[in-house]
Order: sequence, then structure tokens, then C-alpha cells
Amino acid sequence: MNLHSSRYGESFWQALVTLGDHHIERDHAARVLAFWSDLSRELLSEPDLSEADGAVRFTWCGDRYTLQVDVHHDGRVSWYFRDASLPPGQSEGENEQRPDELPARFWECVRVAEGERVRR
Amino acid sequence: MSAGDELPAGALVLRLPSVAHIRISGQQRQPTPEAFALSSAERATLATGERVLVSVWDRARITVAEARSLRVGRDVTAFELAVTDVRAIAVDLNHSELSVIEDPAHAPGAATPAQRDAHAGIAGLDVAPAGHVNPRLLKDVRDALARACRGPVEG
Repeated sequence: MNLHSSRYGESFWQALVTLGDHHIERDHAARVLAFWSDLSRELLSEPDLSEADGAVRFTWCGDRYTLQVDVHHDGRVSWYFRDASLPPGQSEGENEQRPDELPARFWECVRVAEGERVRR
Repeated sequence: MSAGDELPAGALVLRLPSVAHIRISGQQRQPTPEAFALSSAERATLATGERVLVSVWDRARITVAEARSLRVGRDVTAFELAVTDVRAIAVDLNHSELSVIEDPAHAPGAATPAQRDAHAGIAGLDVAPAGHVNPRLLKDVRDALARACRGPVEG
């Protein structure tokens, strides 16, 4: 379920702070906001925001890179990164990591993927 | 052709993602991987043990306008996907269940036999094969399918 669409004038930020209106539990929403406050320090572009299998998902999808970051109910984070210029099957990612244990590679992927959106 | 048959390699199918699942890059539009994810209703069906196909339409049997008209109340955009590309992705990612098959029984909004017969589905997007070596298989498949789409198309 997509939680916002800028094409309809629905703000990413508004959707982020009103997650509870989208059947996201209050504790879960608080964990998403806490994680976003860390994630957003280096970001210049807004991701798409959706709900996927009970997690809140941030997605950056460009001509070359795809990055999906899922924040689960317990605050753990799953991430998926693919460079479409590489052969299929060479994606990266991990499931259900604690935010403070995310590897440096995750943060590199964030900068690469969101950087592509900024350059558009 | 009948229910469950695989569409031929030369076939084209239509996928109609909602506007929220389309990315815009300059003048280009392309579905995002979310355009091939299961909906909430499809996940609920899957939870009952029933397998789920991702809905597409056989381009040779239905017009874009007619396919769009069946999605009443939804702002959707039509993209073409070649069955040969789906098969190539299945080979590249070693996912033998990924295929496009006739699915007249689950044609959303279809009111006539012809519309039902035009409906097909992509198998292999609901559950990863047990024991597959790639833990990100379904995400890789969705991303590859989204990038293989061509369009938007009309007519």
C-alpha cells in the first residue's frame, strides 16, 4: 500500500508524521520516525513511502539503482540494493538488522541510490 | 489455449500499475518494483494457502483502453512486458516457476468471456522456491520485471 503520492500533492513528510492514519501502530510509527531522523541526515531526496508486509518501506528507484529500506514493527531494518548495470542476481541486502548494527555498506548504498534521484 | 497454459514466447502482456507505483525520470516513465508486489488482498489470499498470480492481460486479446476500463476508479498506466523477457529473467535468476500463464478465472472486473479469456497472470512472484540459493530472489525478480517493461502504451 502506497502511503503518499507527490503526484497528487500528498507530502512525503505529511505521510511520515501521520503513519498512524494508515493503520501503522503508534509504537511502530515512532520507531520509523526515529530511524528516519538518522537516515535523513545525509539525504537530499525524498523516497517513496509504502507499507509492505507490515513494514514501512522507503524506496529510492532510479534508472540504475534500486534501494528499499523496510522498518519493521520492532524497529529492525531490512534493506535491499540493486545496481541494474550489474548482472542479475548480484543484489545486496540483509534482513532484520538493528539500526545501530547496519553496516557501512548500507550507508554507502543509501548515498548512491538517493544521489541518483538528486541528479535527476 | 486454456487456463494454466503458458503464453507463447512471442506474446506481449499488459501490466497496469497505479500511478503511485510509477517513477518519472525526465520524459520517461517506468514501473517501480512495487508494481509487481502482491497487494494486501493478494497477500491475504496467499495466507490461506492459495497461490497467487500477478495480474496481466494478453495484449493480443484486449485493447489498452478496455483493460484500463476494467480498473474502475483507479488511475492506472499501461506498460507492455514481453513474455520472452520474463523467460530470460527466469533463466538469469534460476527461477523456473517464473512464467506467464492463462488465468481467466481471476480476471479483475471482467464482465464478458472475451475479457476473462484475455486475462493472464505471472506465476512465481508470491513465494520463493524453498531452498533457493538467492535470499533476495523475489526482490530481484520484481526489480528486473519493472525494468523490462516498455511504455506507457495506448491503443
